[in-house]
Amino acid sequence: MFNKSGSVNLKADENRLSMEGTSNEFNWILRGPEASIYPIWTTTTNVITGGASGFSINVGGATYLGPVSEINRSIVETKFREGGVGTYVSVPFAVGFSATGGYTPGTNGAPGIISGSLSFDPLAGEIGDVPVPKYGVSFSNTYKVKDFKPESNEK
Amino acid sequence: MRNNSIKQWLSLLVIATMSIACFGYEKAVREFKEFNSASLDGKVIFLDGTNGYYHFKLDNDPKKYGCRPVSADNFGISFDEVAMGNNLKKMPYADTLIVIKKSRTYKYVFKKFEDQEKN
Repeated sequence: MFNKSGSVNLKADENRLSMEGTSNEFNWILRGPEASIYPIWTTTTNVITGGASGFSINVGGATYLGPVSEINRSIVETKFREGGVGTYVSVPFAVGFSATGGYTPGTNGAPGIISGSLSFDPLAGEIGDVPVPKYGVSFSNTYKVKDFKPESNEK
Repeated sequence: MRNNSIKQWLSLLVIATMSIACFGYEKAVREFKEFNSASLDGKVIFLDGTNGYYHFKLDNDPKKYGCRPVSADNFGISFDEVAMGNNLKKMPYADTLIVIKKSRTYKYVFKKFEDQEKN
């Protein structure tokens, strides 16, 4: 079902889908029992490949809509097959800069996550990217590469 | 034309989101009942996590269990960092599970679903 709706969007306008392929992120869990100054390195791979490619630097935050006591360090991982499908709206406000807001429905009985970020694409002006708002659905898997929090560190 | 396609897309999105939420909640409640009543004492041989929820299997139990464990000790270490290949213990209806790794004991509490809390 999700693959089908994704294909429809892709044919209508390639720019609507986020298909940059693979991205790497550093995430900090700032609330909850497992909060730490040590980051978690994750990699995100889009399930549907092809379409536009590019490079951008993103800085943002996300809020879990459930109780803080339920936040653990695995919350940064998502699996498409477990229902991890995100939606987003991206609005450009200057050459190369855009603001993106997103919502990821909760899986396995958990509330969803809302997120916001600022993106900078250094090549946007050079390749003549049209600054129009984008929206869509992202079909991706996010895996932990490394959790930098030491096991022996007591609070 | 464009507005219609946006409306169709949004409708599909709302239906998909609600379906995921309803199906996910029922599945989590079902899995929690099984996990909550189980007596677990074995080595973790399978572990898979998403959005803070884990599925795991023990070497002496053919069932796959699911729960949302959150650290309840002074270490604050993620469940997946310590569980794989190490001993996990939980008594039936206990509110804490423990993982023993290299003589250290890590404690985790887990989300209890409403249906089970009423019982």
